[in-house]
Amino acid sequence: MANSSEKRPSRGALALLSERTIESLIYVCGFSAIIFVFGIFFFVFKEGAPFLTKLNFTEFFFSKEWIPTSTVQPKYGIGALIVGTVSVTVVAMAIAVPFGLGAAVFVSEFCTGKVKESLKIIIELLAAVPSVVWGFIGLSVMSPVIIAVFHVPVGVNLFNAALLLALMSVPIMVSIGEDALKAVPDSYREAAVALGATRWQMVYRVLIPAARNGLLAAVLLGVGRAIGETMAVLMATGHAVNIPDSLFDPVRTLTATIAAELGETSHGSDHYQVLFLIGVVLFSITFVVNLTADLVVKGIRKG
Amino acid sequence: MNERYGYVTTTGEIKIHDKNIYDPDVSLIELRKAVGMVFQRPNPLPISVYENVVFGLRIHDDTGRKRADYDQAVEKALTEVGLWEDLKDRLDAKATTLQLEQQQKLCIARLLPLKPEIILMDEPCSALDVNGTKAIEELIFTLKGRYTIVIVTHNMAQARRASDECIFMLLGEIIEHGRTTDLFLSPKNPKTAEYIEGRYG
Repeated sequence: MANSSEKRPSRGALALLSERTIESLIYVCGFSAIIFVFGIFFFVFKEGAPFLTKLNFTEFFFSKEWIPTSTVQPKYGIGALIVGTVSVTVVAMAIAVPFGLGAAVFVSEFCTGKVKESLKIIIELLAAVPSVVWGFIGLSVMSPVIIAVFHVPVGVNLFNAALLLALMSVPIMVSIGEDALKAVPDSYREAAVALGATRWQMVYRVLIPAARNGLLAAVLLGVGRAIGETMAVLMATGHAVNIPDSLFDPVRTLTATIAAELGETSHGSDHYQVLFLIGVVLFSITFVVNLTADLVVKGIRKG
Repeated sequence: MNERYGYVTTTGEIKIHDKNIYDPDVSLIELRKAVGMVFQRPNPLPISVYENVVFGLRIHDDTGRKRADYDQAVEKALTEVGLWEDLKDRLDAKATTLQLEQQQKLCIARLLPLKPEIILMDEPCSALDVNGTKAIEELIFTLKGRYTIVIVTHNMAQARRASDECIFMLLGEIIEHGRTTDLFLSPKNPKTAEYIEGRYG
C-alpha cells in the first residue's frame, strides 16, 4: 500500500500553492458581495445617524411637508416622497407587467428563427439606453404628447415617469421571463400538444404555471429597477412634492430628491443627514422587496 | 383491425378511417384528440394527479361540465389503468412526485377521458424497470379491447409478448406485416427473419 502511493507522481509545491490561492480567491469573491452590502449600509447609515436623535419619526414618515431649505423652520417629512415613489412604481408595473410577460411569452413560444433573434437583440438594446436619455425623451417627446392627448396642463407628471419606467423595466422582464420559459422541459409542451392543446392553451395552462417562479422573479427585478431608478424620474415626474390625486399630477420620488439635493447641502448639515436617512429608507424598501421575492419563490417551490 | 388503419407508402401517408392525416384539411387539434400519445419517458404535467387526468377535458370544450363530471372522469380513467386504489387519497399530489411506473400509467389514464380511437405508444417501457414493464404490458392487454394500441419498440421480446399483430419496419419502409405469431415463427421476408435472429439491428 505504502509503496503504491509513493510511486504516484506527487504534485509540486507550486501547483499546490496555486490551487490554494485560487480557492481562497474564489472564497473571497463569494463573500465580497456580503461585505459590500453591509459596507454600503453601514456608511450610508453612519452619515445619517447623528440626525436620528433630533428626528421625529411620525413627522418623518407621514408628514407631506418637505421644506429642508427653510432658514426659519425646516421640515423633513418624506410622506409625499414615499407616496411618489410607490405610485410611480405601481403605475409603471401596471403597464410593464402585461407587456413584459406578454413579450416574453411571444419571444419564447411564438417566434422562431430570425424574428426571434432580431426581437431579442432589439429588446436588449432597449435596456442599453442610458436613463438620462430616457429622461430627455420624457421631457421633450412624451411631455408634449401627453399634453396634447390627455389635455392636461403639465406633461411631466406621474404618468410620464411611469411610462418611462415601464419601458425601462420591460427588457429585464423579457429576458428573465424568456429564460424562465425556456427552462420549462419540452416534455411538458409535448404532453400538452399531444392531448390536442392549442398553443395558447399550452401557454396559459402549462407553461405559465410551470415557469411562475421565474416569471415572478422577472417581475420583481423590474420592480427593483423601477424603485431604484433616479435620473429618468427626476426629469419626467415634474419633481414637485405632492400627493397625487390623478395620473397626471406631478410627483417627486425618494431617489430623485437625493440626486437633486445632495450636491447643494453642506457636508454634515441636518439636510445632508436627512438625505442619507432617505437612502437608508430606500435601501430598506428594496431589501424588503427582494426578501419577499425570495420567500415567495421558496414558498411556491415547496407547495 | 389494421386495415382501417391501412398503412403507409414510401411517400408518407397514414390513413385513419380512409382519411390521410397529412391532408391539409385535417385539424391537428382534433386528430390529437382522437389519437392519444404515450411517450418514452413518462411526462406528466407538473400539476396534481387530478388535473392531469382532466387536462384533456379542460382544453377541449370546457363549457357546461360540472365538478361531478370531472370527478367521475378521474375515477373512471384511473380505475381503467389500475391506479385508483393507490391514488384515490392522493389526487392532489403533484404528478411528478409519483413513481415512474405510476407516472406512465397516469400518462395513459389522461388520454382516456377524451375517448381516443388509437393510442400510440413510443417505447412506453424504456424508462421503466422489469416490474414496471410488466405492469404496463398487462395494462396494454386490459385496454386492447377498447382502444387500438400501436406500440413502437426495439425490444423483440416485447414485440412478441405484447402484440397481436406486428409490422416490421426498416429505414422507414414496411418490410412485413402479419399476425405476431406468424411473423415471429415463419417470417416471409428474409430481412425480417434475419432481424428477428439478431443478425443486424
